[in-house]
Amino acid sequence: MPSTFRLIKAEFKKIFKRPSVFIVALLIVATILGSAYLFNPTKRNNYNISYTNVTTSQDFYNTYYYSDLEDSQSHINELYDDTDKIINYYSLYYKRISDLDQYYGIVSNKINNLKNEKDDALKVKKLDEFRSSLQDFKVKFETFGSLAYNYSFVLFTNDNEKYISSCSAVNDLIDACNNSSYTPNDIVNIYNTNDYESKLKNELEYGKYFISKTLDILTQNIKDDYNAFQKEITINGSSHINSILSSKKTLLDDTIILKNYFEEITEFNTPIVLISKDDHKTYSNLFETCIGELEKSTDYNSLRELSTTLTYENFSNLINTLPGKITQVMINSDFNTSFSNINKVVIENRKNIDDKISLSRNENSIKNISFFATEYKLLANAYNSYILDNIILDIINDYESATYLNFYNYGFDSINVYNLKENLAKNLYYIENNIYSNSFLNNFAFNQNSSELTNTYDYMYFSLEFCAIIIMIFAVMMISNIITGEMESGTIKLLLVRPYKRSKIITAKLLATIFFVVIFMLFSSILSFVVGYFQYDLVEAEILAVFNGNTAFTINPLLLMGINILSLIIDIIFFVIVALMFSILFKNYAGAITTSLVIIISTFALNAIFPTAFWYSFFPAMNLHLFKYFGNSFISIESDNIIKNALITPIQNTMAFPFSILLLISYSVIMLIVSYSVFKKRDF
Amino acid sequence: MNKVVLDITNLTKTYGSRVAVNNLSFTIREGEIFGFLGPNGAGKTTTMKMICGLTSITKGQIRICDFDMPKHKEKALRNIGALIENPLMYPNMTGMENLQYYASLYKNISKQDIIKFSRVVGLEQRLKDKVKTYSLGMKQRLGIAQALLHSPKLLVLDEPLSGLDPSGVKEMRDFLKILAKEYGISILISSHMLGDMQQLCDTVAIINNGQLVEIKSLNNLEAEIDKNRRVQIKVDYPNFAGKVIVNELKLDAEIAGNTVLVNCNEEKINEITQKLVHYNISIFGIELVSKSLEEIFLEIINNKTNGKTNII
Repeated sequence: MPSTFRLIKAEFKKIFKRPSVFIVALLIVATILGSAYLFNPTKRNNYNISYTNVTTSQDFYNTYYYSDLEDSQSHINELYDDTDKIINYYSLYYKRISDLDQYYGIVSNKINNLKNEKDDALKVKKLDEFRSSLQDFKVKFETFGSLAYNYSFVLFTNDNEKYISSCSAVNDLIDACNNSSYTPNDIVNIYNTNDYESKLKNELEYGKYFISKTLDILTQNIKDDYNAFQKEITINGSSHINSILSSKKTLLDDTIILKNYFEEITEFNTPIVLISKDDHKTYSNLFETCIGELEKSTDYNSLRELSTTLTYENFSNLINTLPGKITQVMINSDFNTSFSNINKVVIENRKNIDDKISLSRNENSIKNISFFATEYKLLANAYNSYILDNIILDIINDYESATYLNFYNYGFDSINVYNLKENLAKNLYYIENNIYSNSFLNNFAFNQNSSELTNTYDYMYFSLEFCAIIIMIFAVMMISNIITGEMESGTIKLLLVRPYKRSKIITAKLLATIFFVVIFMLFSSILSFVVGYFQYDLVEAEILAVFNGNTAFTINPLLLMGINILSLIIDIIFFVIVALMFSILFKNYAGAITTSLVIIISTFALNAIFPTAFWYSFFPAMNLHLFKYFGNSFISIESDNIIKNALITPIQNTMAFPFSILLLISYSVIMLIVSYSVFKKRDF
Repeated sequence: MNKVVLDITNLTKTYGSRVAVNNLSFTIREGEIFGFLGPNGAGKTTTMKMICGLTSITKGQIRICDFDMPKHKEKALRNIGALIENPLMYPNMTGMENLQYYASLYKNISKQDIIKFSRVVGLEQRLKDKVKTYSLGMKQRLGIAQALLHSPKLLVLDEPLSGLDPSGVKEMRDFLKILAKEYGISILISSHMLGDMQQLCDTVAIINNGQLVEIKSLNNLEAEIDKNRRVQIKVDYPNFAGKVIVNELKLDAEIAGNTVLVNCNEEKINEITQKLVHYNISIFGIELVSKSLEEIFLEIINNKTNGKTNII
């Protein structure tokens, strides 16, 4: 080891004898000063709340909350209610599914008992049991309507009567059971011959997917109305205008009901159905035109004309296909429990904050009220986002079609799953730890402005990106030069006759270059910190970071910046290894440096072209900049700027920190093995 | 007998199907200056590169101070100082910086040592100048200085005399002799200039097409040269004179232009002149010349390669 250390020291001294080293240092100074001039922080507004006329936290506390406390509280309460509603919908939904499954199980159990019973006396008893199980099932099927109504899900109870009566197979069976003229054996026969087994199963499915069922009923209504209307208009002349008008009105009313229902389910504040954006557009337009036409036509002639334009193909048929275009969303049943747990925590937190607010109000402490009001609002947002993001994440995971299906207003393709997970972790952290710091209010982003002030670290992130590129290019040139340069001039022969293994010589050259990189990165960091310190503010509040999209933790910004610098150094080292390999393979400086630089530039270009292609996630460039695993939201900003996209490598769904680090290590190890083995065997 | 510093047995190097060095064996002892003679492309540099670990060995064994070359590379190389091919240093660094760099690759080489060795090679005054300002001879000497820094047992010098002017050659020769005599360093030196080798080496190995043709000690070589002296006589009728010498004196003679070359020693000069005067042949000049070493060298190579018996 000490002998290798001697080699490294010698190589390093040699590097610092080069005049180019001073050029790098000068360039870095120029870059840092230049970036201070270029740095143009924009106000962040990526959080849900936007405050008008608020520029500093002081403004925020002193003016906004003081004047609008009540108003904003009602808004916040709405947010809480909405979230509760979503949780209730799903808990209700799951209760219903499990109830239906359970009671259906009893029904099928009872019919089997009846079938297998030999003793006639006992058969009567079994029939009774079967009948009562059917009645229980029917009750469960029907109760949902009233339950839903209690939670103001008006949309499910639009046609409650029809919905309940649609449970016809169960009703028929109950009637048969009540009919005293049938013996138990007859009941079994009726059950078998009419295939009630599959009918009941169908009913069960309808019970679970009640939205589809409701859609079926509503579209069937329209179909009947349409046929009646067409019949009226062909049979009756203008003298029967009233009956025609009334049939038209029925058709119009039912169409409006379907339209409202369609709007309610697709525009509900949480995704409960999936429909493609194109379909949504088609049906919205259809409803609009049909209702418009129907409303317009009031005299006989126009109604007559309407009956020809409103053909079966363009109206009834299209409406009949609607239930098939809509998928009712089922989310992971585990969420049911986790949601209700979160609900409990939030209720507890709300109560705490409310207590604190009322206490402050008694003390007449405006500052405290506004502070707690902020907490209250942040909790509402965290709660809402947490629940919604969980549902969206589950849909993306569960529905393969999610790549082409869209919620109304939600573009699946535009959702970055990693960011979603990161947000989930953050919001869960807020809720569980009951911490709502103002510095969390807006995500800390190094490439954007901090929540209120332009932070030194914001500027540091910005300027270090450029410094890293300069150092990377020089490091690549450096390693190419100290390998190919010595081969070209022949001085390598004077080096190889020293008592060192060749692997040690390569190691020394590599480590000396890495040492050079580290020194210059530290130099740049310190310099940019100093410039940033005098130019901007130093905000030292802890930052909420999320590691690997699942572990939220608070961290000092300086430490986080340290991680960023380390990640930049790793990036540069990776490209140094690339250059090392090409230098050894190519033997001449021009070839090695050209190839390495082409690879670096194409890396950035490919980042901009294939940021979402699955195969591209196996490219090293996509996995570089490991800092993103400490907060993708710090660096990934939605942007149409191709240059910005090139510098930012987003995290794909399939990627994770261990994946990236293993991939980078594998690539590096392969390149190092090639380098060492080729260099070891080469004749000079 | 002195200790063996370098022992080579059955050394072979092939590049694909081309055999660069074929079954070469020789030893170098402590303090011995061993000359490596052969035309360009004979395999001298390849052999040296194998000794220094720059090139892999196809077959055979190299032992340096009892360390096997590829196996104990680091220990073996510790005993070698080498200057292979052009002694290019880092031109932007001064002589001192260059030497310091190479010194830093070894344990315990002080600045005094560096200055001492630069004095030995006579570069003391120019150490602070950049290497790009050096003349070829100075670069050559700086190259030798870097090879000497760690006091190696064996110095491997590939064509160190080429490109030097006559006074430079003499200076270098004397310097190498001092190294061998006073410091006990063995030197393996390659050249295609036989005159230089004759005055420098204790032993000379002649190598051609990768094969060892002959190993001669210096004494044997001198005897050989003695044996091959000729008398060169300028006359007006060379053909006639030649016939006279061959027929009457039973000596070998050759005619080249207006001179007759006779294979004999200086004792015969008197006899020859008497005979020529007797036949009234005008003598314009008589000179005793050595057969050039190149000619001897070629003779050896030709005889060996033609499968003839060795005439030496």
